[in-house]
Amino acid sequence: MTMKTSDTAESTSTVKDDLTERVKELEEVKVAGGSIVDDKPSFCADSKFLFVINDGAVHGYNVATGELAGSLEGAHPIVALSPEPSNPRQLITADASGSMILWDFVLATSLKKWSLSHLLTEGSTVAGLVRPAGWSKPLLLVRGPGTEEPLADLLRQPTKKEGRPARPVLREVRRGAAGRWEVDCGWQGRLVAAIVKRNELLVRNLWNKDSAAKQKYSSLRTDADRPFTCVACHPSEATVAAGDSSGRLLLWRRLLAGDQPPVRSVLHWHTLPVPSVGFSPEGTYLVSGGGECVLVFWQTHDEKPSFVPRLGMAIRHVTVSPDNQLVVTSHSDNVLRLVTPQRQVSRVIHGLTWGAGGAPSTGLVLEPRSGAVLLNGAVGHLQLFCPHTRRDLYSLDVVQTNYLTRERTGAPVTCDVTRVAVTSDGAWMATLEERDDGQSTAERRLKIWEFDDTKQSFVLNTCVEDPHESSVTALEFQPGDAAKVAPLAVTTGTDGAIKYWSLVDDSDIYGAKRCWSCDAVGSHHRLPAGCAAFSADGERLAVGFAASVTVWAPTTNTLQHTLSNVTVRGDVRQVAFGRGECSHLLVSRTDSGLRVWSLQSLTLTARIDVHVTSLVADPLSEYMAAFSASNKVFVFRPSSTRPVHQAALGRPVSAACFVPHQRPRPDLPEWQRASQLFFLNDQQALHTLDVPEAAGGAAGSVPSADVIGGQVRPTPFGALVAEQRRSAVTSAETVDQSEVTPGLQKSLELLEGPSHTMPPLTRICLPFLLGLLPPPVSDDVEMTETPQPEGQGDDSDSGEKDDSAAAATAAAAADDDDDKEEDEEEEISPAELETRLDNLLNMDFSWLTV
Amino acid sequence: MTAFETHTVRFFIPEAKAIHCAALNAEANKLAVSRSDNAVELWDVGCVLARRGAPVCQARLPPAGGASVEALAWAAGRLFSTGLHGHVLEHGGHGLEATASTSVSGTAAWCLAADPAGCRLAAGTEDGQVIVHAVTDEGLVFERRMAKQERRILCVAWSPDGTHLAAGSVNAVCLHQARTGAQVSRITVGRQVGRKETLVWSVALLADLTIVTGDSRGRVSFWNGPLGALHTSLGSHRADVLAVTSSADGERVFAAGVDPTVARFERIPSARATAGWVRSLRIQLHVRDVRVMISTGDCLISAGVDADLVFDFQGNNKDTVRTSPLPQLGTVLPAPRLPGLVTVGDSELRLWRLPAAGSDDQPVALLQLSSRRGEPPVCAAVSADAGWLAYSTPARLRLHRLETGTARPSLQRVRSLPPEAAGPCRQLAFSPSGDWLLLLTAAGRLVRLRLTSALDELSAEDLGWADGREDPDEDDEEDEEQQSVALDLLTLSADGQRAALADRDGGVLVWDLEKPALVSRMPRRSAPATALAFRPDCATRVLAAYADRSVAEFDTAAGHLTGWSRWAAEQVPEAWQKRPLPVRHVTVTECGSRVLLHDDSGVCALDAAAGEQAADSKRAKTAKGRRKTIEPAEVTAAESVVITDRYRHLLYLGSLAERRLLAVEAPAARVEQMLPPALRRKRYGVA
Repeated sequence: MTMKTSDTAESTSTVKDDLTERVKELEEVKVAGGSIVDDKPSFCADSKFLFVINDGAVHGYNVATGELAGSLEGAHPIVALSPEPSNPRQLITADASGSMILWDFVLATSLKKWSLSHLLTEGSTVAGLVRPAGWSKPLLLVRGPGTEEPLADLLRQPTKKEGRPARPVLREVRRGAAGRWEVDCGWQGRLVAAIVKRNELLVRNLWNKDSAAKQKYSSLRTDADRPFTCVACHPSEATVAAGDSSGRLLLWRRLLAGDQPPVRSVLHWHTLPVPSVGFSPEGTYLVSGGGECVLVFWQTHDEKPSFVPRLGMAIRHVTVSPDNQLVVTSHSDNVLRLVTPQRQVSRVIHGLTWGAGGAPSTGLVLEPRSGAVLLNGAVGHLQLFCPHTRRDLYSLDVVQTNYLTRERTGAPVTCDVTRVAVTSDGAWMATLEERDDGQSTAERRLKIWEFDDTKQSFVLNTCVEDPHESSVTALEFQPGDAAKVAPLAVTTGTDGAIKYWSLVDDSDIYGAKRCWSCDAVGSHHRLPAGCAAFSADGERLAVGFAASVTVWAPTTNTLQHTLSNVTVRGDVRQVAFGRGECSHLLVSRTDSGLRVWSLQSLTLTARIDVHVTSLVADPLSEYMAAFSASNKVFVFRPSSTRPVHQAALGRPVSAACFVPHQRPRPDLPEWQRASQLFFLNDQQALHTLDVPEAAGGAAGSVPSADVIGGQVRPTPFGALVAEQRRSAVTSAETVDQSEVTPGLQKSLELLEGPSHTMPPLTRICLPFLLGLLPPPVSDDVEMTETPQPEGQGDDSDSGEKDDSAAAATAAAAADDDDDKEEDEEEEISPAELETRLDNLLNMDFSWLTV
Repeated sequence: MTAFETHTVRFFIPEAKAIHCAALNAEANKLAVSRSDNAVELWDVGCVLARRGAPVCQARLPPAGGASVEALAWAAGRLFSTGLHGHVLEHGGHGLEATASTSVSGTAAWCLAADPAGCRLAAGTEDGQVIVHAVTDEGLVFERRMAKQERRILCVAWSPDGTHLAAGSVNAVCLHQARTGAQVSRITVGRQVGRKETLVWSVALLADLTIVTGDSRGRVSFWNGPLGALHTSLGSHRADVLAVTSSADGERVFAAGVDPTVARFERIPSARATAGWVRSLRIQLHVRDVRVMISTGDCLISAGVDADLVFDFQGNNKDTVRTSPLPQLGTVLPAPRLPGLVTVGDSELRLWRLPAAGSDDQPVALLQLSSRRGEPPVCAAVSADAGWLAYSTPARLRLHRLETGTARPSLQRVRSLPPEAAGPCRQLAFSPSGDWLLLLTAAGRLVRLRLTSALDELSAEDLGWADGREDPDEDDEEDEEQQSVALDLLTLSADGQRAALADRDGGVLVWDLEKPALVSRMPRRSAPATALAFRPDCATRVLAAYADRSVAEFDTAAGHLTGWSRWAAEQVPEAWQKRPLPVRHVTVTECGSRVLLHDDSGVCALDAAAGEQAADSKRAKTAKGRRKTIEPAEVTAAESVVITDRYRHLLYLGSLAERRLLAVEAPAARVEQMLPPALRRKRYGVA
C-alpha cells in the first residue's frame, strides 16, 4: 500500500506560504574553508602579517602566532592585493571590476578608494597587482576579454597629468604551473620579467619611458619541450631566475647590459616541474619548492642546495619575508607553513585541510565529545574541525605511513581513510582505510580507536586487516543505552556479509586489556550489502541489499523485515531511521528519490521523487535534510511530506552534518534550534544556513589585541597567566609607615611619658591592646567571577532532550533564555529588563499544558 | 660498375693512449700533444679552428726509453717539452726528435709555460723553484730563478702581459714578478676536510692579476693576486680540477678535471666594486678525466684520458669536433697479393693471412715480429706479395725477407744495409713489383734500395733531397737545415714510375723515379693533405685528400687538375664535406671504377670516371650526382656518389683484389674497454 505524495510543486507552494518569513531570514553563510593557497601569500612591510586571499576576502595571519588576525572584505570579491611597502599597516586590494582600495589592516577599515574602470576596456577584468620597488602605485595586470587561454597585459597606471589610456608594459603575460600570473619585478624596480610564451621570457627595463612598441625587450628562451613554470627577479641585481617543467632553475645574470649577452647558469635538483621560486630580500639565496614536498635553499653563488624535506604536501608557492626571517610555503592541501632560517617549520596555518581527492570520502561525521566534525584531512589523516569556533582542533594520523610524493611518471596511489564512525558518547572511533590501485592486492584496514582521557586523544585499540573479503560499504556504531554497556559496531561489505564487532576481554598476565572482535556475521540472499544505519535507540539495524531494505535486530542478528517495492528500482544508497515522533519511520535514498517506510505497518508511506545526493539526519530532533542534485536543500520530517525549509544553494554539496549548538540559538527557526546544519561544497568550503546578522557577528568578531599584536608567550604556561589580575586582598600601599609594627604608636605613648602622669591602667589597657591589632579590612571587596562553562549546561540539556517530544526543543530554549537572564541580571538597566520581561510574556508557553 | 665484396677485419685493436698534456702554437695552428706512453704528436688544427675541416695528426715521436713528457710549450714557433728527467728538450726535428736539451735545476720538472711574447720559458721543478730561460737562436739561456717555494711546483702560468708569473704548489699558490723574481704574494688555499693537503693542479692568471686556481678539492677559486684575497670560490666539481684556462679577453674561464664536466665561469658586473664570477654553463664533453684545456678564439680544446681531442665551439655541445681516440698514423699495411695485412703495434708487427674470397676460413697470424729492444716503429712497409717487410725505429731502418709460401713461414733479417739506407726513416714504400724500396730518410732525402735475393749485396741509390732542393753548398749548411721541408706522406704509382709526397702545408710533390727528379707540384692548398693515391690505370694522375675534406686529382703529365677533380669538387655532398674527421686513405679500386675515401667512421665512394664524361658534355653533369647512403658493397652503376656511415673507428679501407675490399675496423666498445675507468658517480637506483 503506497501513499504517493501530492504534487511536489503544490506542496512547495504551501510551504512557502507558511514559512515565508523564516525562509527569508536564513541565508547561506560560509563558515570556513575555501582555498588559501590559490594565490601567492604576501607579507606586510614589517613581516608581522601574512596576507592571503580566501574566497574574495583578504585574510591576515599573524606571523608570530599563526592565528587569523583579521579579515578584509569589500563589496566585490578581491582578486589581488599588494602590501604598502611604506606603511606596514596598509595594503591595497583590487577587485575584478577595477576598484582599488587602500586598507588599514589593523583597524580593518578602508582608507581610500580608486576606480580604475576607465582603464579597463569592455569585458576585461583586473587580474593582479604588481608592485616594483620604489613605485607609488602598483602596476595592473588586466585580463582581456574573450581569451580562451588566460593571458593578461601588464599596465602602468597613468598619472593625472598624462591622463591618457594606460600604457602597457608587457603584453600577454601567462600563468605558470601554480596558476599564478608569472610576472615579477626586481633590480630596485628597474626590471620586469614575465612569461609570455610557453618557452619564452620577456625582460624589460621599467625605467625606460618608451612605449611598449618601441621598447627593446630582452627575450630569454628555453627548450621547446620544457616550458617555463615560474619566474622571479633578483631584488638588487639584473638577474632573473625561472623554473621549467623539467625541474631546472635557469638563472640569467647580466641582463639589460647592452651589448653583453646574459650569462645563464642552470641549477638542477628538482625532478618535477618547479611551480615556485623566490629570491631572498638581499638576493643572496634562492628558494624553490615543488611536488617533492621539499623546500630547497640555493646559495646563488655556490649553487649547493640545502633542503627542508618532508613538508607534507606538494608546494605551490614560496615567499620570503621582507625581513628574511621566514619563508612561507603554500601547500596543495590548503596549508601554509612558515619555515625559519634555521630550516624548521615554526607555524602551520590551515583552515580546512584538503585531502588528496576532491571531496572527503568520509563525509562529515559528528564527534559528540567536542561537538566538532571529523573529516579527511591531509592524506591518511583525519581532521577534527569545530564549526562553531571555526577552529581546527587537531589532526589524527590514521594510516601512519609517509606520504608518497608524486614522481615524474605519475602519482602513486596512497592509502587513505574512507569511512569513520564514532560512538554516541565519543568513547570509541572506528576508521576504515583503503588503498586500491587496481594492480596489486587491495589494502583494507579497520581500525578502532579508544579515546584516552589523559592524552585527550584517540589511541589505537584494534587493527583488523581485511575486515571483509571485498570492499567495505558501511561502518556504524550502535547508539543508545545498550551500546554504553557493550558497544557494538557493524560493517557491511560487497561480499554480502554484515559483520558485528564487539568488545571482548583480551587480558593477559601483563594487564587487563580489551579489544574488538568479530562477533557474528549475517547475510541476505548472498546479495552485496550496501548502506547500514541504526535506529536511535540502537534496537534496529537497517541494511540495504540492492533495491530492498532489511531490518535486523542487532543483538540477536536476526532478520526482522524486508522492505521492498516495485517503485524502487535502483540500489538503496542510504537509509536513516526517524527519531522522536518519527521513530517508526525509515527513510531510504535511491538514485530515483526518497522513500519513507513505516516499520509499524511495513508500508511505504511517502515517496519523494527528487534526485537526492545526500541525506542527513539530526541526532537531536526528527528533522532530516536532503540535498538534491540541483543544488537545493530540503529539511523535512519523515512523518510529513511538506518540507519545513528549502533553499537553493550556490554550489553542489559534497557532505553535510547536523552539529548541536554550543549555546542556545533562539533566533534560529525551530528545525535548527537543536543543532545546526553544516555542509561542505565542492570547493571544500564549509557553509551553513544561518541568520545573516548572527553569522556576520561571529565572522567579524574583533580579535583580541594580542592576536593582532602578536604577543607570543615565552612558554605554554605563560598562557595561563592572566593579563589583568583581580584580588580579594587590597594592596597595603596606603598603610602608614608608623603602623608597620602594630601598636608602635601606642607603645611609644606608653613608654615616653613619665610614669606618674599615666592614666590608670584600666583606662589605657583597651586602647593599647586595640593598637596591637592589625588595621581593619575595608568592606568594598570585589568578588572574583567564576564563569560557568557553557558546554556542560548544553550537554545536560541535550541528554534530557534525547527521548522527549518535539516541544522539548522550545522548552530547552526557554530554559536557556532564563538562565541567561539570571546571569546577566546585574548588568541590565531597568528599562531593558522591562522589555525583556515583556518578551517573556509574549513567549509561547503552550508546552506547559502538554 | 659492379658490386664489391668487403672483407671486414675486427681483430686488431690499437691501444688508445690518454692525452697528458698539450700546447697550442696559435700562429702556426699546430697543436703538440703528449700521450700516456710519453709519445709526442703534432696536429695541424688550422682547418678545424677555421671551422672548415678536420684536425690532422702529422707527425708522431714514439716514446724512447726513459722519455718523460710532463709539459709542452711553444715558444717562438719551437716546441719544447720537459719531464721528470729535469731537462727542457727542444723538438726541432721533422719527426719531433729532440735536437737540444737544457738542464733545468737538476730535479724533476713538472710544468712549463712560455710567456705571451714567446721569448721566455718558465719551468716549475720538484724542489719548488720556478726557473725562467730565455729562448734564443742558440738555444735556451738561463735567465732568472723565482723566489723559492716549499713544495713541488705543479703548475705555472704567465700573465697576459708577461710581467707576472703564478705558480701553484701544494696548499699554496704564489704570484711572482717576472722581471725581478720577487714574490708578490703567497696565497694559502683552504684545506680539505680531514686536514688533507690541497694540491693546486692548475692555475691561470688574468690581465687584472686575478689568479684562477683549480685544486684537488674540486673548487675553482678566483683570487686577487696582489692582495692575496679570495674573490669567489665555487665548488663546481666533484673531484680534482686538473685544468683551468681563460679566454683571450679574460671574461671567461673554463675548468674541468677528474670530474670531466667542463664548467664555464663568466665575469659579471656586481653591485660591489669588484666583479663577480659565476658559473654559467656545464658541458659534458668527456667521460673520463680531462687533463688539458686550451681556449683559443671561440674554440675550447680539451683532452684527457678519453684519448680524443675535443674542439668545442660556442660551448653548447652542439657544435663539437671530436677526433678519434686511436692512433692516426699507419697502423695497418695491406699486402694485397698474399692476400694479407700487417698490423703495427707499439713494439711489434704481425703479418696476417686473409682467407680467399668466398671461403669461411678465419684469418691466420703468420708472423709476429717484435722490434729490437722494444723500440717502437716510426714507420713500416710491406711489399705487395709480403715478401719483404721493413720498419724504422727512431735509430735505424730494419729490413726483413719473408717467406710465406711454405707451411712454416720464415723470416730473415737483412743485416748489412748500405750506409745511405741504414739510418732512421720517416716514410717507406715498396715498389709494386717488390724489387726496390723507397725510403724518405729522417734528414729528408729520398733513397732507393734495390732488393735482390742476395741479401748481403743490396745497393742503395740516393735520389737527392725529397723536397727538390739542390744539394747545399759547403759554406751555408746551417741555412739549408732551416729550409728543409717536412714531408709526411709517400705513395707510389702502380707501375712504380712515380712517387708522390705531401708536406705539412698543403703542397704535394710528384717525383719521376725513372729520371729521377721532382717533376711537378700540385697547386698548393691552404689545408694540408691527409691522404695520397695514384690511379692504378693511369700513373700520371695523383689524387689527394685534404684536411678541409676536399679531394683533388692532378694530372702530372698535363700539369693541371683533371675534370674529375672539378666534378668531385662540385658533386661531393655537403654532408661529407662537413664531417670533422680527416680522410685517412684514398684508394682507387683495382678495376678503376671507384674512388674510395674513408675517415674514422665513414666511407665515400665516388665514380672514378665521372669527371671525364662531365668534361665531355655539360649536359650530363646535371643528371648526375644522385646521393644515397647505402653500403659500398651494394654500389650500382647508376650512383656516382655513395656515402656510408656504418663503421666506427675504421682504420683502413682499401682494395685487396679486383672487386674485393679490405676494411679494418676497431669496434668502439672494445676501444672503450681498454681505457681506464671514469670517475664513479652514485646514481639513484643503480648499484
